[in-house]
Amino acid sequence: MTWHESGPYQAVGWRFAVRCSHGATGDALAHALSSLRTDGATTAACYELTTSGGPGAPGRLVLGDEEIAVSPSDAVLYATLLWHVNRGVVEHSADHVLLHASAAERDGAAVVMSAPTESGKTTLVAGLVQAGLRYLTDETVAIRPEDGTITPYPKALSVDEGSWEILAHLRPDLRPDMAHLLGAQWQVPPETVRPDAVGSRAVPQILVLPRYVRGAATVLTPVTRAAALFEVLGQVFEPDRARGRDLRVLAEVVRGCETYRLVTGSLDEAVVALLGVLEQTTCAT
Amino acid sequence: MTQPTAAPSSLPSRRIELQWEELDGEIVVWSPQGEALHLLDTHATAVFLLLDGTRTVAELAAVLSARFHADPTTVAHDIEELIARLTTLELVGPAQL
Repeated sequence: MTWHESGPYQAVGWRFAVRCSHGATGDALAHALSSLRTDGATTAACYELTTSGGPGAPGRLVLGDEEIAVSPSDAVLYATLLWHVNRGVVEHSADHVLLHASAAERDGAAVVMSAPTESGKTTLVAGLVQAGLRYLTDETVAIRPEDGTITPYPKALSVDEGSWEILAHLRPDLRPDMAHLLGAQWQVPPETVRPDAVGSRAVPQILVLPRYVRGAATVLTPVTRAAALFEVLGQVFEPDRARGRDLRVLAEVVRGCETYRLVTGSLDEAVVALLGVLEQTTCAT
Repeated sequence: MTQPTAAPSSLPSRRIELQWEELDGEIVVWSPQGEALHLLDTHATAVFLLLDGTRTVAELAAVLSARFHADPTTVAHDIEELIARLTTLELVGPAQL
């Protein structure tokens, strides 16, 4: 078998490479992971994806000795690999506080949007990047405890079906025979939005607790820092790993932020509102 | 239903093993085993910060009624209820003398 290899990739503390038995699938994975590409020759961890060989010959996804998935669907294996990368970030980045949130930055000042799944974090960060901010992540904000800064994790934006219409121009341009890999979620490399879309280490300045409500008017309401801290602590990955450290670090981060609750049914309105507070905050500092 | 209250002569104290942070006059605090997170508003925070085990509930009520220029009887009742709630949440216990 000929392996099609790509990488190495760096996702906060998770360094890995990918080998795929099928060239076009390997190319699709390399495209989805392109913003995590890093320098260096070797890596200890390597995902191996063997695509399905037809009925009775399911494909496999393995990582070293660990079998992660067996499926007749290459789309499932593709999506599982990308999901597992997120899991790898959580497992291998214990030196960071990891928050379920999206973030974008301008001139080193970050807007962090923390909320449970399906709250519109990815769509909001896509909107901010389209408006000129630089992308940090749509899934996991990694905060370095020493200084409270965000280490970028610029994975491909995972755009759910509910946002395909409003973000239609970001539809991945896969080969027609690979279109089945799109599944129920587009993987959009941030460079698709803009060539210089990926941001750098940044300091959180605005913390937003967003909630998408179809048809709702956009309302951005200040919330107390303690209430914001209370909510973001509920969005920490592996909350039992370093509870005291996470409380201390996030409290310090929140002390440096303006804190808001955002309810919106309109991406355009939400972006205008967030740009407004970013303008006010960065002017004030 | 009558709320449980702390006895005026009791000597309550924050549990020493708590992990908490104060931001702008409100407190976020983990329960002792870390199974629950609590948000204390400004009034609860004012009481919580005084619970160092050196004052009785009655003395706390006197301190706070003077600080906020409030009716001592009302303040005493509110504090007795609040301390009982904080005790139920395992954030407060009897002072270790």
